[in-house]
Formats: sequence, C-alpha cells, structure tokens
Amino acid sequence: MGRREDNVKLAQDLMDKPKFIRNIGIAAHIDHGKTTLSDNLIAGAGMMSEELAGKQLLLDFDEQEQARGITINAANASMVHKYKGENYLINLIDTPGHVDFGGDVTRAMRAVDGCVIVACAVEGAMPQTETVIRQALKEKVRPTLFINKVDRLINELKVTPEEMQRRFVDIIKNVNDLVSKMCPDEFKGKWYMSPENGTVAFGSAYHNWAISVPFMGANGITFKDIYDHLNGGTQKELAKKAPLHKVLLDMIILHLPNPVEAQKYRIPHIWHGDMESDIGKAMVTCSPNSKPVMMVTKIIIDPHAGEIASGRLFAGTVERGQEMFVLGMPGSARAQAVSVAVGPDRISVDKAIAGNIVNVAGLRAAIAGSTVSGIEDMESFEKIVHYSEPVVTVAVEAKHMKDLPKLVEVLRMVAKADPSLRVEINQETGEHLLSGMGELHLEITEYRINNEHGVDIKTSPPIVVYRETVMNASERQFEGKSPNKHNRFYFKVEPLPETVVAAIKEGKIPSEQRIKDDKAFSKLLSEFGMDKDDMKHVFWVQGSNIFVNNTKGVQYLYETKELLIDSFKEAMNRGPRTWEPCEGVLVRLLDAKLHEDTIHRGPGQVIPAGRSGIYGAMVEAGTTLLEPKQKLFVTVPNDLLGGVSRELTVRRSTIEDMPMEGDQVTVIAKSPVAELFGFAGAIRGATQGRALWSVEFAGFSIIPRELLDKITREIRERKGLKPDPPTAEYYSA
Amino acid sequence: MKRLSLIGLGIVDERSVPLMGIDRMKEADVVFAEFFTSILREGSIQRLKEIIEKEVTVLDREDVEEKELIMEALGSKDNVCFLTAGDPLTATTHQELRIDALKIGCQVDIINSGSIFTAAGGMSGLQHYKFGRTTTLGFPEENYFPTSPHEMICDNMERGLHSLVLLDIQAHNDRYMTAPEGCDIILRMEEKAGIGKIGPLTMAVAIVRAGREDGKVLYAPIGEMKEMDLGGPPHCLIIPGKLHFMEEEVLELFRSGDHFDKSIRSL
Ligand SMILES: Nc1nc2c(ncn2[C@@H]2O[C@H](COP(=O)(O)OP(=O)(O)OP(=O)(O)O)[C@@H](O)[C@H]2O)c(=O)[nH]1
Ligand SMILES: [Mg+2]
Repeated sequence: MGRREDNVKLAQDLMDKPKFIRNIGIAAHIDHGKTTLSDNLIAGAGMMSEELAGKQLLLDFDEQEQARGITINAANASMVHKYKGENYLINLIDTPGHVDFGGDVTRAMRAVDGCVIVACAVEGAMPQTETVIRQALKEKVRPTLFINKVDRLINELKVTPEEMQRRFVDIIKNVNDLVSKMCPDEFKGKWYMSPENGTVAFGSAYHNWAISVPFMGANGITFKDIYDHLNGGTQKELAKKAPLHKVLLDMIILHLPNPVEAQKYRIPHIWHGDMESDIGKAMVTCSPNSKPVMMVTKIIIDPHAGEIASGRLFAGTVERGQEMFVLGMPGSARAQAVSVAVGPDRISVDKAIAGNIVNVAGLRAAIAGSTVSGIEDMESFEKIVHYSEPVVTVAVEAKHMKDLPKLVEVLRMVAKADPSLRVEINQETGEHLLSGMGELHLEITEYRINNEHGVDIKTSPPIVVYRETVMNASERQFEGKSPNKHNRFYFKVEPLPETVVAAIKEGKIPSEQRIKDDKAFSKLLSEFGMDKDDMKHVFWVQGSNIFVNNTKGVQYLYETKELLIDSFKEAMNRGPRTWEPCEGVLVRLLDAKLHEDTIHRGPGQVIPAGRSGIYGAMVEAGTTLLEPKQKLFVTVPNDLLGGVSRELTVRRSTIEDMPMEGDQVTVIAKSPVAELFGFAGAIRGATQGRALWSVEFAGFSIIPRELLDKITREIRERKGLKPDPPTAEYYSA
Repeated sequence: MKRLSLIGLGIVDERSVPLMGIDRMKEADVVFAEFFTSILREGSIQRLKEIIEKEVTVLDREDVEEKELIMEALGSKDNVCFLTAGDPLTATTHQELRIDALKIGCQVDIINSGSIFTAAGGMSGLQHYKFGRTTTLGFPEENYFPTSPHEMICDNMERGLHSLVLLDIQAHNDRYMTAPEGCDIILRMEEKAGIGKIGPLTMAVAIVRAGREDGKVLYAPIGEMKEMDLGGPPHCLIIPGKLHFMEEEVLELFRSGDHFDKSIRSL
C-alpha cells in the first residue's frame, strides 16, 4: 500500500500526459457489484489511503449509502497502474444502480470515454443493464464487460463447468445484442465484446480475482483451474494468481480509449460549434494550450469548500484564480480551488490540463450540465438529457416557522446537488413541492434535509406527477386577445406524433434552446415524419411540445416573437386542465393582428394574449391527463405466481410477458406509478419475501377515461384551484 | 337617452380642461378617469374634484381594459363621464369602450381638448403637414426591445417627413421616459438594427413639459442631448425630416446654449 504523498505525486505526474489517462465509468444493474469492484480496484492498485483501507464499500461515502447498502451518488476516484512498464492514471466514476438515481449515470457518461459494464453471473443482463448500455453508447462511451459474482455460480448454484461456460456465453451474447442494437454506426462491429479479443473478463469482485482470455494465455491458467479453485474453496490463492485489479486495469488500459483518441469523435458528437474554430480544434485534439473548457456533470456540496463543480475538462488548462464564465449566466467567476481525485480522496492542485476529470470551487452559477469556459461567448455543449423524469411529489413544510428561510436555502442546495430533484413553490399555498424519481429518492432526500442539513420538516404523503395533452387536432382557429383588445393571435393545436415526442425526450431533437437554423431544424423534424415546409419556422420546443409559426407576412411579428415564446412556455409548463406540465402538444400560430404602436403590444399585452389563445385552442381540441408508468420485473418461484398476479391486477397493471427459467418465472408488467405506492410491502407479503423485483421508468400514458374527472378534481383541489377547469369561453373573453 | 361623455383634460392640469367638459362633469351621475398613460401636474385631480364638487373614480389599466365598471355604470346611470388626459381617443386606446357603449344604444359625446400630438409640433415650429407616422419608445423589458420605432423614424426621414416620438409613461410605476433616455434608446436601436441612418449627430427636438409654465424646446444632436438633464416629465421628441427655411429659422432659436432659456414659453 503506497503512502498518500507518493500516490499524489504519481497521479500528478500522469495528469499532464493525456495519452496515459483513461476516464472510465463503472455501470450496471443494481447490486451487481460496481462499488465492490471499484473499491477493490483502488485498493489493489495501492491507492487506498491508510485510514480508509479495510472499510467496506468505501466509495459509498454517504451515511445513507452505508446504511442502505446501495450507491446513491456517482463517486470519483483515481488510481495508477503499471502496464508494460508504463504508468497509467485511471479516473473512475462508480455510478448508482437504482433507477431513482439513474440521472447520475447519464451525467457521468458525459465525463468518461469508456466504461466497464458489470453483469452478475447469476442474474445476467437485467433491465438496468440495457439502460446503462444505452446511456453509455448515447455518449459514444466504449464498453467492456465484467461478469461478476462468478463465485456464486459454484458456491450457491453448484453449476457444472459446462453450465458455467454456457451461462457466460449467454450473458456475453445478450450484452452484445444490446450493444449492437444501440451502437453508433461508426462503431458497429468494432465495439463487439468477446473473451477472445480481451474485452470481456470474469471474476469475483468480492473475492478479489478476475480472469480474461489474454491473461489466461499469458499465465497458463485454464477454466478448469478456476473451477477447481472455486470448488476447492481456495479463492484466496486464485486472487494471488489472477488479481482483480491487474486483470481489469490491464483490460481498461488496452481497450478503452485515452482522452486524445476519444475526443476526436466525442467532441463533434456533443458540441455543435464550429470545429474549425480555435476552440473547436483545441477540444478535438484535447489540447492543453487554450482557454479551459469544462463540462460540469455534478455539483458536490462540500461541508468545507461549499459548492464544487465537477466534470470533464475537454480543452485548455484550468488554474487556481482563473476567470471562468458559466455560459448562459451573467458575469464571470474565479476558480477558487482546483482539485482532482487521488485514490478515493480529493486533492488540491494548482492546475489541471485537458483530458482530466476535475473539480473547481467558486463557480456558484454552475449546475450539472453547465458549460464552463475561459471564453465568454462560445457555443455550449449539448444538453445532457436523462431518459426519465420526476414522477412523485411531496409537499414539504418546516416543522418550525423560524426554519423557513433555512429550508428555502437547503432546498436550493439539495436541488443543485441533485439535478434529478425538482423544487417548486405552490403559489397558492406557499408550500414547497419536492419532486423526485421515486419514493426512495424522496425518502432519502427528506432524511438528508432532516439529519444532514438540520431542518426539521413535515412532508405530505407522496403524490404522482401528471402531464396534460390534447386528444385531437383543433377544428378551427382560436383567437387570443390582449387585455387592451388591440392585439389578436390565432392558434390551432394538435397532438404531436409519438415518434417526435420520443425523439425530443431522447435529445435527438433539441429542446429549450434557441433555434439558430430554421432550415436545419425543419429538416431534422422531417426525419421524424413531420412535413418540412409546414415546420419551416419553429419558434421553440418546450418540454416535449413544439411551437411553430405558420403565419405569413405579419408585419412586426418578429418583435413579439420572444413574448409569444414566453406565453408558450408558460402554457406548456402549466397546462389548462390542472396546471401540470404539457406533453406532446404542437401549437401553431396561424395569424396575428398587432397594434401599430409598440407601446400597445408589450409583454403585459402579448403574453396573456398568447397564453389564453393557446389554452383556448387546447380546451377546444379536448385535453386529457397522462400518468407516469413503470415497467416492473418480478421474479418468483413458479408456485408463488398467483400472489404476484393478484397484486398486479389490483394495481391496474398489464402483464406483458412471463418468461420462465427453471422453476423461476419473471413477470414483466406495466403499472401506473400512482398504484405502486406501498408495493414493496405488499409484494413481500404476497410472496413471503421471495420475490426479486426491479422497476424501470416507462413514460407517461393517457389515464382511463373513467378516472379523468376524478383525478382532475383531485389535482385542482390540491393546488387550490376551482374544481372544474375553465371552458373555452373563459379564454376568449 | 343614456350618455357617455369622453372628456379630454388637455395636457397641463385642471386649467386645461375645456369648460364644456367641466359642465358635463357637473351634470354627471358618475365620473371615471384613467391616468395610466398620461401625466398632469400634481394635484390636478384634487382641484378638479373641488371645481366640479364631486368624486372622480380613478381606474387602473385592468379596470379600463375590462370595461366592466364603466359598462355597469352605464347600465344603472344616465350620465357617465370618462376622463382622460390629452384629447380623448387620440393617443389613448379607448375606442373599444366607445364601440361597446354605442352598441348598447348609448349616446357617446367626445369633448376635445389639447393634445401632445398637436402641441409638440406647434411648439417646435415644425409644420404639421410634414409629419410622418408617430411612434412611441417603450422602456426596454425582458425579451422586449422592439426596433420598429427606429425603423419608422428612418422611413419618415427617407421621405423628408418629421417624426413625433412619444416617450413611455408608466404612471403606475412612477416611471416616465425623458428625452435624453429616449435619445439613448434610439441610438441603441440603431446599433441593433444597423440601418445607418441615425447617429449621434442626427438632430432632435425635445419638447419638455409641453403647455406648462416651465415648458421648453431644445434643438440638439441626439448624442449631446442624451447626456443632458432637461428636468421633470413629461417629455417627447421630434426627429425632423427635411427642413423648410421657416422651420430652420425657428429651430435655430432652440439650439442649446444661450438660446435655451429664451425658448421658455408660458401659457
Ligand atoms: N458473492 C459475491 N458477492 C458480491 C460480489 N461482488 C459484490 N457482491 C455483493 O453484492 C452486494 C452488492 O454489491 P455492491 O458493490 O454494493 O453493488 P453495486 O452494484 O455497487 O450496488 P448499487 O450501487 O446499489 O447498484 C454486496 O453485498 C456485495 O458484497 C461477488 O463477486 N461475489
Ligand atoms: Mg454501488
């Protein structure tokens, strides 16, 4: 075990040699052993500082992570490993496996160039395995595979050597199928993973050994040897012959790209500025000789240093004291401190160069997703889009009135550190509404507010987040009038095609940003089946809703464009039926009649006119609610299937498939989140605790007609609104 | 027959209200007023109330736009007055009210009065026949900095016409745009729109506190005027087009410096 100072020195020397750096993520289905693997890699590489050595799951730094035995926050660590006589610096991000924290995986993938997909040998490729592969490939992050928990195959399942091999073949095939399904075209085939080409390893993170075909060849170890060690209970010896860290880190160094290689194809993928510009060239070549450009992927709240922006430095050198701009925010800030991971610790440095994962303190305006740059007016990186959205909300109140100001500050802080949370104020009641990815997510956040931030809070029972949409296309134009009656706007709405909604959600169609090139945008929409000429002038995309300008030759319309966009945003963030956000609505502006004088068509006139015009058109076309659904995977012994089906049917679920394996059956079902509160307890009861289950976000779908009025009224009452939504007449007044 | 009288109060104070208007108010069952787009001297309304010996209900923008209060009054009362500063239905936007009243069979009378539309031109010495389209400069707001006023001024200039440029009045916020602020905004619009017709050397006429005892006219380049302090509101601007020699002669009197004080006009 190296001394801390030596480790720091080793790592710092390598930081300036990007070709000897690997930035990688560890990703997998929940519980497949990511943190155990990460820990043992660090320890094996001798990067554990003495005080931390021996602690279990040390990358699960957080109290709640330790208590629950799951990872909640992606954690950074680094290690130095010698391969063929050269030292390499491996920056690793251990990511969470629970779906509620999947946003951290999405964001971590922006910071890394390669990853190790961990798959449990017993469970194989699971739903989240597919998800993390998708997350990696979307960012052009190259995968390798580690089949973990091989010890369990023999110790628990007592499989034969043949069966063990068959299982490996199955898992590798499944994972490759997933990769080839989602792989960027340029890497199809090239990123195929096999034991023979050295991109697949097997082993036991827990027992600290691993094996790969190249390693077996070089060291004269056979599958039979491994089987014998496992069978004979001599894994310790195996760990000496085939140490986990050596096999895995060799694989990482040999097969995953260094930043210089990776940025060549990753920069054009995530940055749409001018590649021929100086900064474009600097990023593509990972040059340290330019102004720094960093993509923030996480905000860490440090008890001493405050808010630290952590992310990938794609170009230039960042130094302490340097002036940095958070793009899109006014003003600039100074980098008060720069640090990097050494082993599991954060160590201060004077400067860091392109290709590293760095932490910068002092950038208060930065959030996860910000582009931070030494250049004030460059193009930002593409937005990081996470596939799922907050679906559960609780109302939060301070137990003691005096804590209210503190609560406001704490909520701001937790929301900043965790971009998957959403905090809103209910305008009517003044309550704070905290929305998250699931019950666990909110439960943990509540715990932290209470215990770590020391604000006693009361929360309401969880409620589901809904969406609004329109069912049909407008039959006629709806007129929105300005309060002074001198300006009129004419709107129609219609449901957007599902393919378009999906493309927006996946980030294939950019949303909530200025559309610079109308032509390119309409062409992009045409790729998803929309009519190019019809969509020639898209004003804005808000959420998964599109606002298109179909007017012809309206004088001065351009002067009210921004205001109309404001009304569109307001209407989409808060739909007419229940003030929930809208989804999949296409709003068309067909005509406008404007007052001659600008003073009579300012914000106070145009925004309400636009908003009521859009609302009126939606109400006339017919609105409805969408509810969030989750896909459930419940695995039980065959004889307990009855209890599971019963639990699912009372929860308005549809059973989609029931694959069997041996005496186990997996029920795959789709259920409304609203019906899943308390499911954990119920399923435990129904199966004597023998069900293994996991969930996955399955998007929003239309609620049954018979529930529409009831739920509408419930939501409206909760928000302090009149029980019945306004009619179209209300909006035409 | 029910009657709605739209009465202009002129541009100064209770003294600029036509006697005809005062008579109407005295006869009225109810008197409404709006001041969100105009400014009369302080205390004008109080003194007007004393003259007509009756209450005046001042409405805010929403009330006027909704029209509900006025239409209700017309339902129950015979004689309703609605007061606006300036000349009714000129710079203000109350045609809608007039139409609604006519539709329910009311008689609508308009009592005219002085307006900045005519006062500014007269005070400046520029000929009325040579004015182009009027425009208003608003205080820039978030997402709203329209440049069409600048475009309109340029259009007028092109055709040799003068432009009357009204300046934003936000009485509810106690915010009144001054001529120097207006000059600054015009230059910023030029920067944004980049037509190249207007620059700091373009001449402008400021008419400040038109019609009042301390009213003034000033003729100066926009770039210089932008830096000046011309005193309290209301202000407006004229960007002259092609000048007739008579116009030129008058404007010369209003150049800054020595002549400035001589330009004080009293009522
Ligand atoms: N038998 C066996 N158990 C293992 C192995 N690797 C990990 N485990 C156990 O599996 C459980 C989960 O391990 P973690 O490392 O926390 O898994 P994770 O993937 O980080 O979990 P999340 O971060 O919550 O998704 C722990 O109880 C580990 O001790 C292994 O190789 N063999
Ligand atoms: Mg973990």
